[in-house]
Amino acid sequence: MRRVRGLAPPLLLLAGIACVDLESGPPFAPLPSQPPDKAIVYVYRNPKFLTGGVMGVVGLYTDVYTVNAAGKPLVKLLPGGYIALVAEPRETEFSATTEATSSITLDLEAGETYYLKGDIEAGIVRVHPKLTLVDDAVGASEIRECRKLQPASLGLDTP
Amino acid sequence: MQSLNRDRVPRRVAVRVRTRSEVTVHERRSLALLAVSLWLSACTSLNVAPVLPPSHEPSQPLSLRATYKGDPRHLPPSVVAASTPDAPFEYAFRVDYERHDVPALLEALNPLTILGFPVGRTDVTAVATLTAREAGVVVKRYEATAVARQTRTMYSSDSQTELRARALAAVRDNIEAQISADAQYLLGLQAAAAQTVPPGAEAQP
Repeated sequence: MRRVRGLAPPLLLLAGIACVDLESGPPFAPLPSQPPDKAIVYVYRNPKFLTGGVMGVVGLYTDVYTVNAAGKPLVKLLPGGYIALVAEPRETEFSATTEATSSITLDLEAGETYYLKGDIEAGIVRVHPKLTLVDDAVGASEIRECRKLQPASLGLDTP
Repeated sequence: MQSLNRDRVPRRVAVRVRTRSEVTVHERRSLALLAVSLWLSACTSLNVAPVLPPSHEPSQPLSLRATYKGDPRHLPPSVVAASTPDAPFEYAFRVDYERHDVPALLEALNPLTILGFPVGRTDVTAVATLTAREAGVVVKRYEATAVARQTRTMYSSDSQTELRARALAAVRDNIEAQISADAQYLLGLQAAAAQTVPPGAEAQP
């Protein structure tokens, strides 16, 4: 009985970590049309267990963070989730903060599509966010496994 | 009774502090290596090409009209953005991001991670060009490349924005130095182009 009790916390933890992956929201569908005078930025995060799960188990901390676009909250980025942003073609900073900040500035061009991948790195109390601009081919392939997330604010164009 | 008295006598704990000379060479090396690795681990560097000799300010202030889309902060001081596409110059830049990450599992299980062992590296490369045209033909091209590099640790932030700003400032200053060295030639090009510019085409600050 003691053995069973001893195993319960790690098993519960593993179960919890496994459930972090997004189960709701519609599966990925590209935007039906590209506005000629706007840029599209897909922000996504892989649902893979290793990216969030192992770090979560080792660090015993939450690995969810909010991505901001041009200073406004864009999305609470869960593993396996994505959001599409229709943005003005200009210099735009994307950032995410936990106990450390990850930021990247993109020179958005009209008619172009960008894939921004969210991930995590080891931290002390919480994981560190990691935002990476990936190639179109990689982004278009990986985002297919993701499900749509709700926007964090209404001030941005997130169809 | 004797045993009781023996228990009351405080035990002497043999603590022997090692003198400095007794710290082994191996330990010193290890500590030094650790200190150096921690110092190096969160550093950033910036490499710019081409490497230019120290230059003097141009005797004549330049105001080269160039087609350019973007933030005016990234323009060299001698270049002004023009609203018309027939400007004799064109300034453009490109920024590339590259990351080299330690695999997540290795990073999580590596005990040195907590000591500041690098968990990845970020390279931001900026390439800026100033192209001069005469009658639609490219007659001169200035190019500068800067690579801003950051080695990341558990204790550092991941500001690619900051690296980008440093790289763009470096190429801007490098292009400025290059065109300062060719000031007379470029002013001649601009003067020749001004004779063919249609009226109403003015430079934007």
